[in-house]
Amino acid sequence: MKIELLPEKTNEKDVQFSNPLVFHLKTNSEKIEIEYEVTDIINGNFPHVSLNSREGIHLLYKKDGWKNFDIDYKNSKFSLDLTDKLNEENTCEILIYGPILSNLGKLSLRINDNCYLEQIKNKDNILIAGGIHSLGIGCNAVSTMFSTIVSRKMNLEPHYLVYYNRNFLEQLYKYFKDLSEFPKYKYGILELDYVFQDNVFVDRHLKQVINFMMKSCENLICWYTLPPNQKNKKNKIFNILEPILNGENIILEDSSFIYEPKYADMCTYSNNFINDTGNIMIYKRIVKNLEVL
Amino acid sequence: MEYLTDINNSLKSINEENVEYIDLFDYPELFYGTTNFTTTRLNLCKFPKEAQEEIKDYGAGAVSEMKNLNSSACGVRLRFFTDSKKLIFKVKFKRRWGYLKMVNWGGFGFDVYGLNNEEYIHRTVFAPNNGHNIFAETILPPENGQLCIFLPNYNTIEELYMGIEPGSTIKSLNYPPDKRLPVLFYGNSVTQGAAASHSGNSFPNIVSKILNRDILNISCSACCRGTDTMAELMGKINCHSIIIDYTRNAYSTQIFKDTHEKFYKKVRSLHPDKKIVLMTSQSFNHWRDYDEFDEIVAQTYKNSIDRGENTEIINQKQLFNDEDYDIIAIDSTHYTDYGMHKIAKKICELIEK
Repeated sequence: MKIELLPEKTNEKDVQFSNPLVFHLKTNSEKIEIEYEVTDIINGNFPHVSLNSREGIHLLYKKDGWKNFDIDYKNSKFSLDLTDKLNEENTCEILIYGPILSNLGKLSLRINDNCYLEQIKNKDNILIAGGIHSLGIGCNAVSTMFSTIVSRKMNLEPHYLVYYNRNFLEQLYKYFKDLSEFPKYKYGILELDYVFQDNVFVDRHLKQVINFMMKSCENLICWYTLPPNQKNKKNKIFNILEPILNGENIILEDSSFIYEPKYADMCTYSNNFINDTGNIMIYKRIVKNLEVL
Repeated sequence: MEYLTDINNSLKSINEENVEYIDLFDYPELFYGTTNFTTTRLNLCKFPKEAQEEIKDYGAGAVSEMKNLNSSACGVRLRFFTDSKKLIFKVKFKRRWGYLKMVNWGGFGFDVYGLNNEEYIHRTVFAPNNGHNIFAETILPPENGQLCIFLPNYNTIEELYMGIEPGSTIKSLNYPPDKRLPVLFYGNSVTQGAAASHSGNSFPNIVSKILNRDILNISCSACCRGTDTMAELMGKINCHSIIIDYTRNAYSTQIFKDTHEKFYKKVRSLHPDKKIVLMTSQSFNHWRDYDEFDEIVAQTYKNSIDRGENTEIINQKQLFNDEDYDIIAIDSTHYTDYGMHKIAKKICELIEK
């Protein structure tokens, strides 16, 4: 039986949510054939993003926690053998992450006859909003983006509003200002990094975007990780946010420690880009904050 | 970075006025982590002809990897002092397309560190974008002029020139006298450095940074088969200690059983007193076969201890919590830098014991 996971294409140009697409599935089929196509590949200089993150898919399965499949991802069509991955109920949960710098044009799964495959929707949801760090730039695998780890480990339904645009605050502002009704999320994670962002957009939109997100999200974590030479930007963020930081449902998370000598070599490429391990560190800090909220 | 069609072309976007180029292949003494000590030209190949040829017994995948990677600069460092205030590197690689599961700054990166006494301070990393294999990049040395550049773990450097200010000095930068004997690594794609985010963060390279000690990494993806040829090669190398990361490249449990202890014993016979660290498999999705592999490694270790040999073991799976298996590696095997650092620290702890 063949199942198409992507909704039928529409002519709507405005994509409500951005990459990566995430599919959380459950099946009792011992074998799954997966076929996918990517479109709209963003060309550019990406020595810090792997080919599989840019234009591949990533799969994990759940057995005593989430585990990576052993797949070489060379082909856009391959089979998964779930025989030894089924649990005592003879089912298996799998996660499929789409690429971050291209779009999925097709994602179809073929399962054994008389078997089922269903999409799992977690009860609580999370909105991830931001720029290049939230998009996973710097990651070798989509599974090591802080946002995918948070949603995977905390059983949260992820939604993305992330932009490959240095002035992402303006993009977020434009998205929210036109909404007549704000979608509701249990948690919001807003990236405040703006090493590349023009100051004018931070001055103009940061507070507005946070206000919009507060309307949408029950709890909001605003986070940044800025290198030591960007201390003035930290101060600016703090000054803008100080008046609203007293609320019980908003936290400002400074994860700049990853640029300290003890961590920088392991977590960053430079003062501009963080790697998988930087993402893992940010995930750990965000989870601590989520537990407080 | 400027991309070129011919390495001899003049640069357009990088100012090379008042710069003279030296062919770094004429200065093998500036490179650490190679096995050819007597040649006048740099030779990055670490695998003897016999080792390259015997790989044909191990299938097309291994043959292809050995052909592509036998001269990769994995674990090789360019270390020098200079009083030139600016350096321009002109590089020609063999390969122009990146590998899956690797970022180019990892597989193809020139990873630049400044040295301050024994401390490594990361300065920058550069690598070409996909589709390019000839390029030039400028770097600014630190004030003390001491640099250690980790070379690409997954590409072959065919030509390498360095532009310096005329009349400036280039001197090799030796490791401290008590740290010149290298730690010798033998392993698979992980040991070669796959999936490290930048070249200096493969676990063997991290060991060299933590200890400020020379290393020699004779690892090649898919080609770690525990052969007599490689044991003989390792036996010829005077080293501080030996890390054997031979597991997953064996085809089957039976082959692994037949070769692991035999390989260890051969290396041990040639290095009777050196510390040898045996590593179990990197397998982070409970693949049953690799549990059996690990039992074989544990048995080799136990037997060596019973014989009173200077041997240690690292159980890689036990170094991590099961619930972290999805984040310590980008697949079932290849470590993120987080995993690489943890392994490196454990190796340092054991070989310094």
